Amino acid sequence: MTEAQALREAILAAPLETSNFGETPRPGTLYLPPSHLKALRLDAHVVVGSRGVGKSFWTAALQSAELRGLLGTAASELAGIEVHAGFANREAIADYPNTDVFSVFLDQGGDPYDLWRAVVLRWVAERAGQSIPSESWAATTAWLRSDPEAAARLMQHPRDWRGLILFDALDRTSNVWQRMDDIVRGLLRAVLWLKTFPGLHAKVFLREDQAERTVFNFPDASKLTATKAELTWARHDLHGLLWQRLVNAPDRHGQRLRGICRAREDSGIWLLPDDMKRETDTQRSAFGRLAGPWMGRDRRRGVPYTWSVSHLADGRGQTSPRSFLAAIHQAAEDSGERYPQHDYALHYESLKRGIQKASEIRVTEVAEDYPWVPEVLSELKGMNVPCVYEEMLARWCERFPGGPQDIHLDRLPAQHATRGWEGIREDLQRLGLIETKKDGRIDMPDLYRVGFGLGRKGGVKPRNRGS
Amino acid sequence: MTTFDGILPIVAEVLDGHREAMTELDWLLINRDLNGRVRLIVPETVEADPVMRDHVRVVAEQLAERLGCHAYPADRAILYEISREPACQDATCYPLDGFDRVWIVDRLATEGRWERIAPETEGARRIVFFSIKGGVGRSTALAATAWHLAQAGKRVLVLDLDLESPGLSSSLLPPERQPKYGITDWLVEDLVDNTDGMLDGLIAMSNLSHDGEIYVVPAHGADPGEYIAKLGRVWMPKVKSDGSREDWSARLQRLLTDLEQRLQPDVVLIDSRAGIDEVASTCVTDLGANLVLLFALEGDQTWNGYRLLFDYWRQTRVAEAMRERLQIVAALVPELERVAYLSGLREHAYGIFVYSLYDEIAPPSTEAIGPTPDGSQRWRVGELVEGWSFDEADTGAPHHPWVVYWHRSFAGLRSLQGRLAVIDRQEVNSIFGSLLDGVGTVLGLESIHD
Repeated sequence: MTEAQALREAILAAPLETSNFGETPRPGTLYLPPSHLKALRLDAHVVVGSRGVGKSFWTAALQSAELRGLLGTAASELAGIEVHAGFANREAIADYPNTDVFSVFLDQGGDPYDLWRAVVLRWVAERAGQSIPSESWAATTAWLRSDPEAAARLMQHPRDWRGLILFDALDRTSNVWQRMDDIVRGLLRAVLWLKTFPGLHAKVFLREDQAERTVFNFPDASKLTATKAELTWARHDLHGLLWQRLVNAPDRHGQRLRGICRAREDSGIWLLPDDMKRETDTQRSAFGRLAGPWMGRDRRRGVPYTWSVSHLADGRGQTSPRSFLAAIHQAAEDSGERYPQHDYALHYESLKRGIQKASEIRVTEVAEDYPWVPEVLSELKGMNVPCVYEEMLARWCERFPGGPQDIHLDRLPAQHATRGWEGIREDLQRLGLIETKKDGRIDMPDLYRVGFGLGRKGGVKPRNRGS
Repeated sequence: MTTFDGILPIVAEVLDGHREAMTELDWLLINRDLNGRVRLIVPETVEADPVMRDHVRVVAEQLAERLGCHAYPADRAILYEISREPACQDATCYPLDGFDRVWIVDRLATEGRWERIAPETEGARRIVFFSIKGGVGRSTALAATAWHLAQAGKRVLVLDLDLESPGLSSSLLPPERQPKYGITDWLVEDLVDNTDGMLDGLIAMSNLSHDGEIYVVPAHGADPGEYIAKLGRVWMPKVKSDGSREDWSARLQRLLTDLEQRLQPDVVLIDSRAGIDEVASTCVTDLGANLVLLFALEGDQTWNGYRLLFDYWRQTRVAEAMRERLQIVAALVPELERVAYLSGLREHAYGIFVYSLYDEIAPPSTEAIGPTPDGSQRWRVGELVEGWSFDEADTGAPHHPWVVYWHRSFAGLRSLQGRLAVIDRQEVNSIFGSLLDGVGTVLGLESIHD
């Protein structure tokens, strides 16, 4: 077996899957980009990030004492803290309400602020060994409202422990925009309330669109926004993550990959040296060892180190870790099938095909979060971009003659659907799915263009076709 | 009135009306002579075949009727040739869109051949600095690049082919180092076989670089002499004693090869004349350049010019041979509002690359894409169509500008010799860094910023 083949096997053996559905991540997969550290700090109450940047990952990881320990000095203030989920994508009806509970509660005129405080009270009561009404969420909130003094005493009772409560997946609280915003606003007020109790901390993970809306328009909201942290992944962060996963591949595979970058061991986990976490020659050349120097025969198609990240970016220039790792895994598989004798583990043509896989995953994610998006963008199949907006509009109007209201949905509609197609267009752009050029034409980043089956305009017609 | 631009569309229309008969022809040439008048050249066999002959005659009559003064009368409009190649010789020749065996043969009055693309050179990399418009800091950027590469230990050969407005050499050489001769001298002496021993007199070593070498071959020598009289002769073809003809770009190529053999440079930097000019076409297309830097200002004059050129490359079917060598350089980027300026420039550059030089990527078949039929909520992308094309945002794309900032210390070429001699690396890097990095990458140098 050549070295390239052995490296390819090793990449395939590494844990590159990133989606998190609430389970505790494996220790070797934990990676803290330097810029994410501030998001983990206890004074960062609001953490903003788009789909797939790690909100759910950190919600799950922070709940594990073992994983918190691995953050080491980077997060020393997390040592000895007790972490609890106050909302997450995994159902836990004893710990927090679900969509239906919110729905009934709001129908009956309840204030989400109370419901969120009830979530905190149950947590604190349980930890303090006190019994409060917990047979239903209605009962807990009723108790809070009818006996506010008891609730206040519970909160003020001296504690010998410190706690952190996490709120994630808040788009699952309601299928109605207005309501969701009310619920989030109530939560943020509850977080402000919690701030007054020493030793208790809260962290709310918000999607960008939630953070951009009016959920912060209440008195003193600036106390939360002042320390707002963002989870974004720069190119070197993504490469750091990749190598963190690679060097922790099992057995001889990990060993082989560690031959490229010096990782050190700490209680069975391999950790990257600092220069593999930043954009350094070390990091660049490490990727070169896997993928070679060029995206083709020579430099004209670019350098794999930069190419592989930038071609997975959305219209806002952001690349999600999941897209990146999936593309690399796919590239290793494809190289093994098509170019087994290639000089490098990852063939550049296979890296290009990695976009296909990343597109698949990305559109699946988008469909989960925004089911209206594939309904709308699927209609553009077969078109070429850049194109004039009217061309898109014509397709939509034909398919949905009654306007955006006709789009079939079982979850949240487009946020600005009530403003007609112009609103839809704005939503698509805000989500990075399309871009408007200076001359008004619409373009689509390759990540989505490939995923939704569009072509790209060009002056040179492919040979042996047409004519 | 039918004007020149109507010729090709009308020819295509007329031929379309005879598509079936035309497929019987092995080949058909649409000859546009120096005056822009059209004749048909067909295989000799047609003359002996009454059916085909009549058919071609009908085509000629229709062309005469529709093209008016841009066609020959039908009875003089058909020429017969044994084979296609000799009929095309020394002319620009490219296929007519939409037809398999029909070629346009264009007789041009100039030697400038923008569609004749020499294969890339295999030896030392040749990098051409070109701009559609003058005064964009092209020569200054070349001088800075030469300095940078020499500092990195490279042997750099610099050619000043901006013959009509020479000046590069004075920026790289102090007056006392100017060599005796220039390129114009060599080209003129070559016409009378008088270049023996001349090479040394063409070359001077710049005093700017400390580690590597910069060899400069200027447009003219220390004493320009009868420059105008020489300039009027440089693009003469040379007729050898055996009657064979060597055009001027081949002569220049010969000079370059001689220089390369003598100096063994790692890289050759060529300062080309600006604009769609004959000398420029030689630099850009005939010398086997590996990289052609297209200096650009954000403005209509730049983009209209490049659009003309790119469209011509597409029309003459050489886009694929040429496009991989091109790279936009944003020149003289202003101090204020740089981000907006550069994004505008990038968008314009992308616009003309897309419509002239990049491949069209067809959409995949509609069945290949969509939700998986198993109801698992997963999306399926079953087909990937590829081609030579780029996202606008693609940093590795030829339209994605390398950047040269405007800076007052480099505003005047005249001062460059003085500037570079004392300048610190940091200042050069801050102004030319993106260009130097780009060129460095082509030559396999480490980035200057790491």
